[in-house]
Amino acid sequence: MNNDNALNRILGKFSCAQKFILVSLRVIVGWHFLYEGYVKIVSEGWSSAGYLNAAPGPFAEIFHNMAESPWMVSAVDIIMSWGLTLIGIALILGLFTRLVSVAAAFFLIMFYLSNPPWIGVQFMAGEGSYMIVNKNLVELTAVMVLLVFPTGVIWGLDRIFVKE
Amino acid sequence: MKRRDFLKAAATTPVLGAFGVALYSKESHDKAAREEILQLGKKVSGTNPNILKRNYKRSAPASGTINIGIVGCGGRGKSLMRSCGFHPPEDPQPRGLEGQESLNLKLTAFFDLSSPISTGLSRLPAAQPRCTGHTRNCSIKAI
Repeated sequence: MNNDNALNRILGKFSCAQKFILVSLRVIVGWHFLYEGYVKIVSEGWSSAGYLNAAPGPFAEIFHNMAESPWMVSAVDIIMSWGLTLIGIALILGLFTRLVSVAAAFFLIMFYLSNPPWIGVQFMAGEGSYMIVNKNLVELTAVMVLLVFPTGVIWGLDRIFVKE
Repeated sequence: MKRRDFLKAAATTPVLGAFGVALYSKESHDKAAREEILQLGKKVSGTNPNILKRNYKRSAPASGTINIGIVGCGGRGKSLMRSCGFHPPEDPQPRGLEGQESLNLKLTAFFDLSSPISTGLSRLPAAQPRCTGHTRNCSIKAI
């Protein structure tokens, strides 16, 4: 009963459509993170060194300095590959959603600042055309939504930890 | 914990299973495509209709030079050229390539629209390469 009251207090103001779309957003972002991390784990010889070395923009020196240290590159490789994977799994399951969303936001901020599509910056071109806003920034905003809405409690393992 | 709450808590767990199925399917498809490329010229592609048998009759040895051409020298073309190890003269220090082995690539031709367009796409004085490689294997011809 107390648990029901807590859940109703948290979730009572959301319609079914809102709950479905919020949870879908969490699952889709989690799927993306999981596959990105998986590919980095299984790819032989993958390293973040090239990406760090090629970072343009005002924060380039920070990333270039990271690439000069072999142990730093190894640490970044492990953090990136396994971090993305675990964040993806946690988001899909809805486990520790808020903590994981903060971690996801940190990753996305680093990705954005390491290749900022700013005017005057010769950023690494991929698919699509960007000016200030790119897909990393869009996904960062999506993760911010996950941070402020209790999607893990709607449909996720965070529901187990709800107490009165 | 009530059964309804348990079901709602575990509602997104099957997504991991769907991910696993999709991953297995993709890995299988990619593996088949890679094996097809290794069978170049021996049989028609079953996974990619764009791979035609006649296009891959000759294969270069592992240590041979691969000739490449580029169509379009804009932003994407420059990015691809950097990935191949070529870089413009104003950027003599290549970024992100330190410690990487040579790809044995040779840029042999490039194509891009020149101005004015009404004069046609033939050899014109204005058709100067934007990317003049400064690597070991670069020699460029304008077409």
